Amino acid sequence: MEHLPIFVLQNQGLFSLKYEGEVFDEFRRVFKLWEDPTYLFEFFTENEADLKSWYGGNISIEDAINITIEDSHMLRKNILDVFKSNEKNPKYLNNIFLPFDNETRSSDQGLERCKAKFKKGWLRVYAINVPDDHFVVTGGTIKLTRKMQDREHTNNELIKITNGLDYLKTNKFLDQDALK
Amino acid sequence: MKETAKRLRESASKEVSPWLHEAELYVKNEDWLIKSARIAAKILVTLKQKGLKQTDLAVMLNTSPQHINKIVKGKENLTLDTIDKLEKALGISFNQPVLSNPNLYGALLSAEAVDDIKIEVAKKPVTQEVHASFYAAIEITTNFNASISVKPFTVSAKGPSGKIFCKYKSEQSLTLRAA
Repeated sequence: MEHLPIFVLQNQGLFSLKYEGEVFDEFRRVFKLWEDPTYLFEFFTENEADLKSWYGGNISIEDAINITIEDSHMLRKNILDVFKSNEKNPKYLNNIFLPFDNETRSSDQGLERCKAKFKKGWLRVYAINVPDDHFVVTGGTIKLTRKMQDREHTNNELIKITNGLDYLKTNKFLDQDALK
Repeated sequence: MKETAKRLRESASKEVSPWLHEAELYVKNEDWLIKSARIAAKILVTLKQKGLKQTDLAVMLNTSPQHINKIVKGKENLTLDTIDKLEKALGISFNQPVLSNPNLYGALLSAEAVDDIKIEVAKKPVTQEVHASFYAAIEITTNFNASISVKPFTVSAKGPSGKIFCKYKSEQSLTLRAA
């Protein structure tokens, strides 16, 4: 496992993990999938029952593909806005990568506080916050159910976050201050 | 900058992710790429409904399976001629609303907006900007006294659970302001 820079600015930086044997880093991988109608068609066909019950909306597979492509493009533009921001109009990664969830926000466990997510609709990009304004993407997915443990593909993302935390801890990218 | 962040930068791979370059390229070509993906979505759904394979479509269009694969990946800048052939072969029209259910995206926005606003509205006025992706009718349900401004329309809702319906054009911002 290694971490690739997406971009590094003066006071903030975005990185992505790249796993052994993978062609793409995680950040690139999820965006490639979310712009691919054939992948999305297969995904929503496999998860059609979850799609039908998502927010109670009776969403067709065709609509789901279109929504995903539009939403992922907005996420793409949000990140590009940060990259292109300047002193007059500053944009920050820590405004778009939010604490993992409400339960962990007040947690006193340092590791829990390092988890972050960037979301739009059912799309999720998961990352680890390295103080102060550096984020390392561990993966991302389409989350149609309430809990990540509910489905294998979302549960895998939880495992990847844990592995990512181990990688950052082992390499001393997370110091004791961050974990207090 | 904290020591950990410095260390993270210094030890990063020399290989830079091509994501940034690809994202800029996507933005530059966003208009046709998104239209191409919508057409791809309709083709994939229609093929399944009709029990056809991509290779069948290739035969119907007298083209290669590789060409069809590029089309359904949403990576083909389609000519009007190809669009016409696809429509005739599959018996469909691509000149239809983006969403089959015009209220759908509004419902999604509503769910997100209300969820976000609930956190703060009780404490202080809040402005929430939401960017819509599609031209669609939006239903906004508020659980508080609120004025809701939707450019170019301005409408308001009062009382608990007010509901508003309005037409909303893509890429314009929607502002919800607690009264």
